[in-house]
Amino acid sequence: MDLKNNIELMETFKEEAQGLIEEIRKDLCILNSQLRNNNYELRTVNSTATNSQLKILFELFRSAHTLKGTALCVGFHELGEVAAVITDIFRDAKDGKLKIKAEIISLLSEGVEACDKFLDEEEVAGHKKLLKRIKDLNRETYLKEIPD
Amino acid sequence: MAKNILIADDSATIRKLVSYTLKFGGYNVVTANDGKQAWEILRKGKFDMTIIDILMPVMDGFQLLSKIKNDEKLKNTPCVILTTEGDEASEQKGMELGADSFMAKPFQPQQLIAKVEEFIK
Repeated sequence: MDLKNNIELMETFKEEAQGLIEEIRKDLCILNSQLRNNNYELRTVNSTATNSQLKILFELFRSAHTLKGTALCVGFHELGEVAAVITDIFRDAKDGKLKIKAEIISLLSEGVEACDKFLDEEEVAGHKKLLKRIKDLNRETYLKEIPD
Repeated sequence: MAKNILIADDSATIRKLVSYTLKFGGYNVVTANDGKQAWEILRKGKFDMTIIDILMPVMDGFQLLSKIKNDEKLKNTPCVILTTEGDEASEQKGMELGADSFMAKPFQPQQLIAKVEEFIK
């Protein structure tokens, strides 16, 4: 069963994935503008985050998670790989393990644009480096900044 | 007679992929976009199995699973939960709520058929 030759399935996937990418872009923009009102920091532990900010973080997580799952299931592995590391960041953000900063949003936006290119089956120069930068962010940078 | 399977997932792609695969395997498939819609369909129809995604709007997969396993009429319907590879916390919670099995995304079509055949011959 070659899924990429199933035209109807591919059309459904591309339409859904494009919608999810648009949702993530929109919510990242909202989050970014709210950061300006919080001295460019948003922490979900003890918490400067409002309910509406937490709701946005949850929606970002859900959109990225769905993008990851669908992409991997239909054989868009590179897109799924980038969506997976973005999903991990949003999960930690909504769970209060991550202090959102403007540079994190900027890096995640780069990831989202890479997803968009992979969806159009374009090459993305340096995508392995981008993956590493997002993964390193997950492993090292922000965890040091969050007090117990 | 072909067996009836309900799939609850908010992703149109996954609904189509699962439907396509299971219809190819000779099953009747009904789809729901979220847990609430799935619950309404389950109460009205007769299903031999349900396949449930966790992260859905309105009513998530855990809530749906809990309702099914606490319902006298529906509690024996096999429920397979779609999880993400390595998500042990979700599997643990699913087991506690009475899930019959798990299927990690991404999956191959033949893996899905094999999983269904564990419960429906």
